[in-house]
Amino acid sequence: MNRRSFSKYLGAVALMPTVLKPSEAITSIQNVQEGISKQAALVPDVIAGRKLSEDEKLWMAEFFKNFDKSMMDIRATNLPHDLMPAFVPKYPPKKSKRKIDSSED
Amino acid sequence: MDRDLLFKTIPELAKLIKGKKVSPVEVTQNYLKAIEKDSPKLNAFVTVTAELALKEAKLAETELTNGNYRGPLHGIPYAAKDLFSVKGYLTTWGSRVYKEQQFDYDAEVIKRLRNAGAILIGKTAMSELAGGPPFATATGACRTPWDISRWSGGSSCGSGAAVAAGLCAFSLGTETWGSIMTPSSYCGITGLRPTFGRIPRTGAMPLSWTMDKIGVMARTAEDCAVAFKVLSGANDKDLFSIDAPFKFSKRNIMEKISGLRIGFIREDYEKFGEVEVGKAFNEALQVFKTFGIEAEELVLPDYPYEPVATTIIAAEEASIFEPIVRDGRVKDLIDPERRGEVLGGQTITAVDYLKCIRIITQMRAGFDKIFERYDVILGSSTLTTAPPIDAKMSDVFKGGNVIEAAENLTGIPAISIPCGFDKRKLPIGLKIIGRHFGEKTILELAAAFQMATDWHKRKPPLFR
Repeated sequence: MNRRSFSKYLGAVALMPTVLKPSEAITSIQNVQEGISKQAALVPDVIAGRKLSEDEKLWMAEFFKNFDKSMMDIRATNLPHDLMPAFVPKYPPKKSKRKIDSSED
Repeated sequence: MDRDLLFKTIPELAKLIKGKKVSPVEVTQNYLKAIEKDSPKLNAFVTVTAELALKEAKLAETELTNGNYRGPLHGIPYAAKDLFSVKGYLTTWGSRVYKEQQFDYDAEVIKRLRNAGAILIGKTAMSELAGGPPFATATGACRTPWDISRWSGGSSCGSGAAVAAGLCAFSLGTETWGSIMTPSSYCGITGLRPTFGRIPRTGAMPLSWTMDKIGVMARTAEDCAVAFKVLSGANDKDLFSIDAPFKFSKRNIMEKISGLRIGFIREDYEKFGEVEVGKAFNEALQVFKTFGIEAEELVLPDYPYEPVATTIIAAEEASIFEPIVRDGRVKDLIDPERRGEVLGGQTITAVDYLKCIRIITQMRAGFDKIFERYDVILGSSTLTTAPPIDAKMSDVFKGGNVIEAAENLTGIPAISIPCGFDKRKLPIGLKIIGRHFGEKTILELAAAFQMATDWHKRKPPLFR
């Protein structure tokens, strides 16, 4: 729900560089976007070992239309090489003096 | 039917039950009558577990007669979103794809509530596979009791409507991205979304292992605290679940909240929502001012919150629902956009997915910094009130409320409480967001707000 409307909103933002004479940094993002859009045009024939119907390809293409713009933002993000994935919150919080109530304690 | 009894809070009902002024069987039968009469107007329930409820109520009554009081949930009827497995009943996940699905075990939360003496009265409607617009529900669009031509929100739509209409004392919902906050706001109830991992998800439908949280939807912050106390704590099967202490009491509450440092998010209500929602939010800030707390505007750290949330959910649900892609049942999902999402998610690369999970590490560090300065953050639960059933979602969720994606990615807790009504007499929700494991603080602040206001006591005129 939110993510769909967001993707549409993001779509409008993504088009802005083409209207507003983009800087070099933005041009490089555009290149990423173009690359992804080409990928979007190539909806696969087979997924999970099954040949897709024409309807399924249409639904997928519709998904890519919005999703590719999200991908552009993510791929344009540079991360330090030592940044690890986050899976669970740390406990206890930094300033807490309370004792951990767990079997490991 | 005793309408007054239907709208009692958990402590009020517990007092009556413990004092033998009313029996668990009477309370249960009262709710069952209300469900029979009112649920069809709302499409709130998918399955009414009347037989099980009466059996559990009779057991509770016997135990109470024998002086075996299990605590404040003993004899209290509740409802659970239809994504929690309950032995002997269908668990449809809101989808016609899974309309015949049954599990031979109870979800961990169902077990914990049963051990506390609570009575499962039914399973509530939900958006298909916990996401999508109003029409994407196998049992028909779920309506808010405040105006049955409008949506109760998603995806815990039935859990929100059932509490608001007085069809149960409290309910269980889940949130991956807005699914407790939205229906709590649209239905004018109190909804707690705890820290990621505090309530184990064993036996609940997964949508996103990284973002799914189970929460409580009820009338007051105190109700949420009572149920949360029973539900929280790790178990072996949910590898992400965590143990942490929790205590809540309304005693000396003004003293406890004094000195809290509050930040707030200024939304563009004119552009993304409704001006009246913004007005109610500003008035809520004034209530905190009467507590001696001055809120300070804050700016969120700049991260691609929504693209990251979109990608993680799409990738994880693609893995979870891969079997229906393989056998072609994906075609039977109600919402064509969702079919595309489950299909398209199959192509997300591991590199992109892991990058998103790594970005969360940065987001958490950003929020750690915010919580060095503030104890809680205030925002609007939704930027609009309940939309018409046939409203286009792109017209309802036009942008703004970016913090909602941030909260759900970082796994910090939040509570939604009613903070006013618009001109159409639809409820407006205020969101209090805390740091990891900060449930006590947000519940205390919410309880203080509810001591100073009466928005949460209002009942929908059609269901009084």
